[in-house]
Amino acid sequence: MIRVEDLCYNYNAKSKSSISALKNINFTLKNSTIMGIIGKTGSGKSTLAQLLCGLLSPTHGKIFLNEKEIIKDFKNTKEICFNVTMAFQYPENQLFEKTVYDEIAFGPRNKGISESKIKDIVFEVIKFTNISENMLKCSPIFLSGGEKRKCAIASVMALKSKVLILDEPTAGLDCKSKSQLMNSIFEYHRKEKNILIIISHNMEETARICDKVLVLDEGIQLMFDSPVKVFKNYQKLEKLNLDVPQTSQIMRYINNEYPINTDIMFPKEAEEEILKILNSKGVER
Amino acid sequence: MNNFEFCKYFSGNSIVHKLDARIKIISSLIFFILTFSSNNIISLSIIAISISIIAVVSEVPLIKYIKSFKSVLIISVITAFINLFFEAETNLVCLGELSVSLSGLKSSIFLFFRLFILVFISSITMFTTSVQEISLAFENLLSPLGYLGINIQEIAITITLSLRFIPVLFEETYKIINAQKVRGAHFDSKNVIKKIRAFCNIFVPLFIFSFKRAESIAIAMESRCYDVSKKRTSLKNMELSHRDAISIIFLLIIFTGVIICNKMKIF
Amino acid sequence: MGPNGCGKSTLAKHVNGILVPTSGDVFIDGLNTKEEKNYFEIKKKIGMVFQNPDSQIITSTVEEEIAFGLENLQVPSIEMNYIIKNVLNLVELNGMEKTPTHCLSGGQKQRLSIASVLAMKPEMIVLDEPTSMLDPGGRKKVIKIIENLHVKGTSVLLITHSVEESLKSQRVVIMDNGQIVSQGNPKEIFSSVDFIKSNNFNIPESTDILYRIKKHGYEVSLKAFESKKCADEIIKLLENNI
Repeated sequence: MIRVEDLCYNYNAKSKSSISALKNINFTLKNSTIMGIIGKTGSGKSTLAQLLCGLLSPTHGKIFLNEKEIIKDFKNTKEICFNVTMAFQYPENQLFEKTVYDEIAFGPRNKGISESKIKDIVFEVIKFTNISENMLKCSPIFLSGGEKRKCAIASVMALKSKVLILDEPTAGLDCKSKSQLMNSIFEYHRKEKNILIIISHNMEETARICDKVLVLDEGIQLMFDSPVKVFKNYQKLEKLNLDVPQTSQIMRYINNEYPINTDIMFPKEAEEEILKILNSKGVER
Repeated sequence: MNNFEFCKYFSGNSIVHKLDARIKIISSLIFFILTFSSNNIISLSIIAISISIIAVVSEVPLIKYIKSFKSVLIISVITAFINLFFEAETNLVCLGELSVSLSGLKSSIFLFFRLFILVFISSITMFTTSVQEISLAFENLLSPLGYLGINIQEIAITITLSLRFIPVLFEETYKIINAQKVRGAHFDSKNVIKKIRAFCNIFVPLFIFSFKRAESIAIAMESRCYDVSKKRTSLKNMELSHRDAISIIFLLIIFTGVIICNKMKIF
Repeated sequence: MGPNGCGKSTLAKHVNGILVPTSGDVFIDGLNTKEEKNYFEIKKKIGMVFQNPDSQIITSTVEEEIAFGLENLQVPSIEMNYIIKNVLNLVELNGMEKTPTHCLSGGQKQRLSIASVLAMKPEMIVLDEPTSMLDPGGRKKVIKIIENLHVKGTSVLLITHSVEESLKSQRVVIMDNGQIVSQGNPKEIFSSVDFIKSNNFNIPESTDILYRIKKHGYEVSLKAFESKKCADEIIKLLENNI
């Protein structure tokens, strides 16, 4: 469980030119939830992620992981990282080991796990991310863009942390690789039952897999709720220049003329709802 | 990363800010030479007073100067202290083998003030001149080298690119370090070898990043018609104004003043 | 359009002669990209904007960035300030001449890149996934600017993953494995859902809903791509038999 209490963060807190990046953030996440963070660039999403992994220490407020306060109750940053890990934006730029195997094993090795167990872990995570076994001996530098991304995500998955934060995991990928990667992340989460935090600009993606959505605007927590409730507040989101899943937009337009359930966010549900009405009315096919 | 400032430029609109960067660079060089050639208290104080006037005119807050003094204070004290023992005439105080003489004391006090003035001068130039102006001024000042067959345009574009990419590289390094930290890298390990290996791991992605960047920048430059062999025009042409002329006169007066004082035998 | 690694960017680089074909020829207004003497002329006619805003900005301030291309074209410095002001107006970055480039947001950087290409007055502008690294707000602004450009008479070649963006074009070319798979009017192409699904594109949810309903035997047009039009289509169906 993660509990964030009244969290504030200022860059250059001590000097006069201090910039407030986060103001009074409060939320609680139960185990095995998926939270989406949405907001414009510069709204404090990445700062929040770095605070959660203990890379930055809060100016004010506290973060608790299973009732242990982050930074204070841990021995060092390494100790926190084994509990809360994150993949940064464009993680493929940060690969450095000689082979894909070593890259994935880097985290577990730092954790001090025995080599035989590491092997099990590596083979487990490559199954999730669809990396083929003969790729393990390749150098990560010579992989294609999509494969590098998979390798980078696999290497943070291998840490098996209680909380995994992904900063725009699918940015810049094509549609097919996007949905593949999203599925593998989801599968991993189902198996590990960890807390997953996803920062994303893709609202359809967020609506589909998240249990909770946190909306940030200029460091202020605008909303923290279930996706249905968040996307119902479409006026607020549009003001922030954020998208709303297209299906819910369509349902709202229909609702203007014809009463219909506007909580629907996915085409499949929309299909069922519309068919139900059509059938009850006996519209000709 | 956010504290990183390549130069300590303090934007403003004072006379010193508006001066031609070439003039500022040359006059700081002249001031450097004057400071080291001055051999008595009057010439040194002429320099100190005129520099202080410039500093006041520059409208940069005093605290900024004090901060830059602070950073070199320890070095100046140590140098001056060592210098204490390196003149052997009439001894004032004896500390075992080491002895301090009157001339030693005098020269170390001088050295201390000289270092101070040097920091003062370079701070004024750095605070009032933007990086772009400095690079443009260097390009201009180095242009005679073109006659020696050196391609100045190439040097200029190299300066421009490095100024642009130094902050980018810092940012990237910071990102890579953080990315490895969250995967449990041994940056804060007490084992020195582990620590060194952890830092070596930063360089691989950093090199790859730089090479990739270089390649894509080259393509971007090429597609915007960049050609080394062709002559280019320049957005900013440096032109001297009456302000610069006045400052040259000011500089000449100080210059002669210091030279005359150096000839006098005081102190 | 096409999946990663299908050859879109390679094709784009052939258009302005950064790459030269192994076989076959590329002609720009009758100029062959293979001939070195056309090199300068072709690059002047065709402006390129790339995916990553950070790896195409060359200088440290906004005005210098725009001036870079002009300096290469040997435009006298007196005219430069006027041109800089003009193009900054076009991309809505007015008054930011002196801003350091590393302080701009991703969207602003991308608009600056467009401005610095526009300053060179190209006949055509090639944009290689200009929006894929931006947030929704930045994306919308960049697309709006590209649309305006087209209205003002510049040809635009846009590489994108987004069906929504390509719907604004007159012609779409779909590529896979280094080959052209299909081309034509975007509305025609994206309403053939089976084809799109077999090529692994994301169909807009509006088309998806209409497609699902049509499967059940109801008469709806698949060419409604905007939310509003899609809603109208469904309302028409619902109110048909009241």
